[in-house]
Amino acid sequence: MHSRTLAAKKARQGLTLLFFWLPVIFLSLLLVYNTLPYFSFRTDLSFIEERAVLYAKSVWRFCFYTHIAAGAICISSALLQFSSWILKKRKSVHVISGKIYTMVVLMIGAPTGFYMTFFAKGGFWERACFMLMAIFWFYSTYKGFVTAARDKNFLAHKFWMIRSYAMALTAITFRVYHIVFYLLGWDHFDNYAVSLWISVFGNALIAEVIIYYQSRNYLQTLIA
Amino acid sequence: MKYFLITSTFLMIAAGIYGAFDLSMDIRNGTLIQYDNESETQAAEFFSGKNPSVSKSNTIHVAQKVEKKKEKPALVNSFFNLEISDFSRAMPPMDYNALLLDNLAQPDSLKNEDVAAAINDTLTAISENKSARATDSLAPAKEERRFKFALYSRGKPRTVSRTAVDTIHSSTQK
Repeated sequence: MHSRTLAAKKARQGLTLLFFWLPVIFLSLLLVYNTLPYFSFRTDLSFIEERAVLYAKSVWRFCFYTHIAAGAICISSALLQFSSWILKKRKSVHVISGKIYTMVVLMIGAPTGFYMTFFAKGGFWERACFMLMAIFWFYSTYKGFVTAARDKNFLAHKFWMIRSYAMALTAITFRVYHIVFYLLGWDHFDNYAVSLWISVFGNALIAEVIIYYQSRNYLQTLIA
Repeated sequence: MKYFLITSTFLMIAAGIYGAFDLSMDIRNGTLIQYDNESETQAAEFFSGKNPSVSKSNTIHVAQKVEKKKEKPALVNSFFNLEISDFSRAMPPMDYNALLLDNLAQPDSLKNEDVAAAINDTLTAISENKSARATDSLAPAKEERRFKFALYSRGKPRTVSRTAVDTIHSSTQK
């Protein structure tokens, strides 16, 4: 390959690491760290105080704690999945971590999240958005697992897992948008609704853009 | 793999069905969560008398929050209502009974029923003691003093029994 092409490729990788992966890793770990107080089972936390009526329900309480535990596990395990170095040199790490992610999302994270969407904060459309997100998170993870384990179609597996991870990252992007709009002085409920919609559809859009650019060469071969 | 996928799909469907059922029950009972934080007391009124377990917990929660909010201004007000006499070195009551009652009758103590009962007992004991002293002659007091002297004297350790001492004492008096 031409040296300039190699240099450009390296520069692109470096920029991706600096402006995408480092913030994502930092915010993921911050999110996991912020979930830790909930495992003390204290009820004086603002999130729980606001949902005292729901907290009285044992099913909701069970779903809440399992959901945040599952979320912390899947966010942490997903950090390893997109490293090309791990995929090439330590494939077993990728496989084990991927199985943990899939199992946690399909068996715990998505079902408990789906139940809680019925009582989510916001109006009808915000709840609908949460439901859509939970269903799409489940479906994309399901497809990502099936394409790798059964069909051995690793390109499709990669694209479905990008979509799944985009849905998992809504937990982070939602908070980022929420803080930004708060600093802009928006009303709480408007801020909440807009942050939710932007985080879900924005992440889905970004995922599709990344998939498009990664499959461009493959699509060109199909056209040719 | 097949069982895993079937189980996960079943869980997802079950979560959806149960969530929809639970939501419909909440709507029917009027216990659907209201996220409007500004009208907490109104929310408590709304929830009361519907689903007993949920409404009870919600009412307790709201009451606790309202109490917490009230506590802060009360503390601030008590600070501003302090007077210079609160810090003065005024002489406490010198009478033993008055001092005892003064100590027992603190605001914290009065809240406790046991302490209140103890105060009543003390008061009755004091009044009984006073009336007994008023009616009796001086002889029992003297008797008391004599026994105390015998018990706590720094003389030789007593080797004879109390009854023997009493008989000796009574014979010498005779």
